[in-house]
Amino acid sequence: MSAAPRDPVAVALWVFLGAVGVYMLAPLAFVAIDSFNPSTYGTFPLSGLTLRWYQNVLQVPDFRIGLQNSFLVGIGATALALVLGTLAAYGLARYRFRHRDLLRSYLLLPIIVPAIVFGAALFLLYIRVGLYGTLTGLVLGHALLGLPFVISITTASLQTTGREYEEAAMDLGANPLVTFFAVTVPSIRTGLTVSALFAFVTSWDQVEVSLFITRPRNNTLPIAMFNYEQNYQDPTLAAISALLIAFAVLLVLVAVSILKTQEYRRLVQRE
Amino acid sequence: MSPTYAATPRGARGRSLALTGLLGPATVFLAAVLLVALCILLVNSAYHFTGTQVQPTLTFEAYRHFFTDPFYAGVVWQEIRLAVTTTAICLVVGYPTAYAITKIRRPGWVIAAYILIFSPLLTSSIVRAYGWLVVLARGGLVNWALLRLHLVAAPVRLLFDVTGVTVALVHVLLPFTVFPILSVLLRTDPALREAAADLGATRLQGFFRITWPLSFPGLYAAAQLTFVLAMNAYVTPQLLGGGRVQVLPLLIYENISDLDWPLAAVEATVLIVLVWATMLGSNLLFRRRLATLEDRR
Amino acid sequence: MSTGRPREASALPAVELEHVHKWYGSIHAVRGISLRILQNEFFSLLGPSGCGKTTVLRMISGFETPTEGTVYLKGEVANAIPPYRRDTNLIFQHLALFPHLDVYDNIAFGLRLRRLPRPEIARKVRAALELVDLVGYDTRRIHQLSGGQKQRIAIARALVNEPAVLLLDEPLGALDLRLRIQMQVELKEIQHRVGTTFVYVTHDQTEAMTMSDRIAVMNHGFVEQIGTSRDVYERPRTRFVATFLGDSNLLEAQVESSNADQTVLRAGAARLIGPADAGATPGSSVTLCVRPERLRFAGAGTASGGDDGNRLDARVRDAIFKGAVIEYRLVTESGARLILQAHADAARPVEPGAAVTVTWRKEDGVLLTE
Repeated sequence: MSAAPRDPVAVALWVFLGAVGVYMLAPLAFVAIDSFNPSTYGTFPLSGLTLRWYQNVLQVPDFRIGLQNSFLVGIGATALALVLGTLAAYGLARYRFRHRDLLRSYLLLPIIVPAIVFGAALFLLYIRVGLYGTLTGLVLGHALLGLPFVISITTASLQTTGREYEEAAMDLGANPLVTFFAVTVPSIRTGLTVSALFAFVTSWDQVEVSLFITRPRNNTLPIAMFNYEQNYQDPTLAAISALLIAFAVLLVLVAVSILKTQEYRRLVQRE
Repeated sequence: MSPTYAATPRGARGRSLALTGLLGPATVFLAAVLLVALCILLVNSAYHFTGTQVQPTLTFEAYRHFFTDPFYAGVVWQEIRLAVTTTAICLVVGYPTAYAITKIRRPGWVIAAYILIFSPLLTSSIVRAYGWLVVLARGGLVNWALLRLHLVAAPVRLLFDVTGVTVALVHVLLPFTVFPILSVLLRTDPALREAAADLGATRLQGFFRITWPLSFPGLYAAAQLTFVLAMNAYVTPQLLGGGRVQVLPLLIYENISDLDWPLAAVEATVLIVLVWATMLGSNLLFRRRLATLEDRR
Repeated sequence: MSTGRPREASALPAVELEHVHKWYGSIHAVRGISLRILQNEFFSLLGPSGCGKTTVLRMISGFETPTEGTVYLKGEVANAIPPYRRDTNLIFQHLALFPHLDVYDNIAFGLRLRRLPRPEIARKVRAALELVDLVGYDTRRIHQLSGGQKQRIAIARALVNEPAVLLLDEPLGALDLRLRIQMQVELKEIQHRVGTTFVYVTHDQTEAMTMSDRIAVMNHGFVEQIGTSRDVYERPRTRFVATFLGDSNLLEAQVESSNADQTVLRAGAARLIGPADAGATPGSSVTLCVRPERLRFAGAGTASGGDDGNRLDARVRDAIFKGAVIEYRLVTESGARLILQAHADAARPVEPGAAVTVTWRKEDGVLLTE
């Protein structure tokens, strides 16, 4: 903190930050606790501990299918957004042309269209072209939502890298294609990783758009959970949520360790 | 000097070919999916709904229905109130949070604070809504604590009401409020505060004369983002509102399910117009103030 | 100049620019430059930032195409040849050593693209490391190298491809002064050993004069003068060249008369004698340029015979000790400011405030007509 540890302003800020932290973590922590709650209606305090909700997760076919679909759609959408977004970002970062800012705003449009509106519109489009209820339809919709993240992160990453390395490669005889894969991609590796993570998480947690374009019995995991929550509200949902939180914690730990090694590398580089 | 460099410096034709190859796919993809879908939606808003199906004749009756029935005005009003309340709470909580994070010295604690504030982003809004269901339920944690502390005689209803939706929505949106403020605060040169102190400003004066005005662009961006996201929220009001919190996103899904696509399309159009008008309006309103701030930077 | 191409190979300049212009939108960065860089020459483009020197270099390396005019490499039109098909290599201002590759892979980058057999690549990389005196550094990462080592790896990475022309874009800018001077000597030595044409861009006149066979002094997109270091220093043709390369005393004057032997000038009340100059017509305004080290204090007893009649009365404002020399700042009766450099071991220093008479030989003056 800014001054001596007993500085009242500093103490107040600490206490405040602690309270916000409790507020942020409380629902997640109690989801985890509730997943062991023997009471069907999630009453507190717990009267014991049980694992039957975890067993129940495996028995709900909707969750199994949803998990599988979510993985497939997430990977497909991430790949598509990453390819289209990286190409576009390269064009935006490395070329100057008329209406570039306009084109950039256009490509970021999916961010400012309310997801629920996009979902409704996509539903009306998909029932006309036969994409309703298909995984392809989900991949296209989710890729579109991930695209702005990929474009903005990758553009920023390209801009900070500068083009000197690319010019050096070309000067040494690499044509533009070789240059892109031998120099550009390795130098924006971190940006691409973060983009991919964002695109995947966007798809993985997507509710509003998926809601409109999935068929019953062939849902993504969030939609399966959404339906279950509206119908049952027993701790089975807590169990699967706890599993997802554990997955997210794992992601955070991986991200932190990556960040730490990068920080370390930066320090070494500075010498 | 700013060189107009091209990856293939072989004249205008090679350049435009490369540009088409790079930007074409994303542009076409966006047009083919997003723009076409939005156009279909817009066209549908003008169609006739018989009560069981949609007929492709332009009647605009859904618009008339939406703008004459006071029910919809009530929904829009409730939605705006919810979004404003949520945004206000987020700013009041988010600004000191961001400020406190910038004052942390130990790198380990900084990482911990980041995880605390931003990790909920990695969990689905459904999981978080369920979490609040657990915490706020009749037999949930908060009621249990209130009863044990003898603050209430019988369980209080916290769920399925605007209160519960607001509490959960603030939780969902707080990271989006903190982030813009935090990034502006981190960019502010700490030497400015030191200079102010050197010139005789107390800590309070230093804060209100230096930090606060310089953080305004972040505050503004945070307010805009939070408000827009609150207007668009679907999952939280649906799961925690218990039918008592009616907002446009809920109506849109309901009407699509009931096959009344024209009405859903009108509601969607109104939502987009509301959101975009807010963004545009606040941009225009604050542009001059922001511009002078940018100059001062 | 433009006819009879292609010429005989042996007589061909390594690089030739013909009336080259470069526009960036409405900015005219290079304004009609023509120059020839000979084979095995160490040629410098010298000028302040924004003078267009880097743009010229980038047009030679292929990263920019001239808006007008022609770039020839070994007599062949090169305007549209992309950088990766040119027989030139560039050492970048910030070196651009690939951070994700180690030293060996950096140097081997160009060779691998040419699909040379593995043993040959290994042999060439080793030879390049020997050339820059960094044998054994193959597996180092770029961030583990010091500034000077990075510099040498960049040189090795470019020279290993045996380019016809090596282009250098202010590569020593980031080094501290000592290392810079050491690298200047090394670069010159390396150039002697490999015998490649070097084109060197810099804003540092000392650097250019230390290393170059010839220098092109650039300003505002034009080449003001091309010549050897001695030429451009001792016989500047324009005010800009005279002031950009070292200190000069510039005296505004009118031509009174001129003949094949000398030019007689009038500057205020003083009558000055300059060298003969065909461009000096009686009545025209000229600038007489005299380098500080060419000015002398006229001894009390010296007759006007040894100084061709150039005498200016002045007062010493300041004397700055600079090690080998003492630099005197003077102001003449008419208010003109002069700099005079004298050896520090000269009989006795002149104290500030003293009234002095300054003199110089007529052939030490240069008439600037622009």
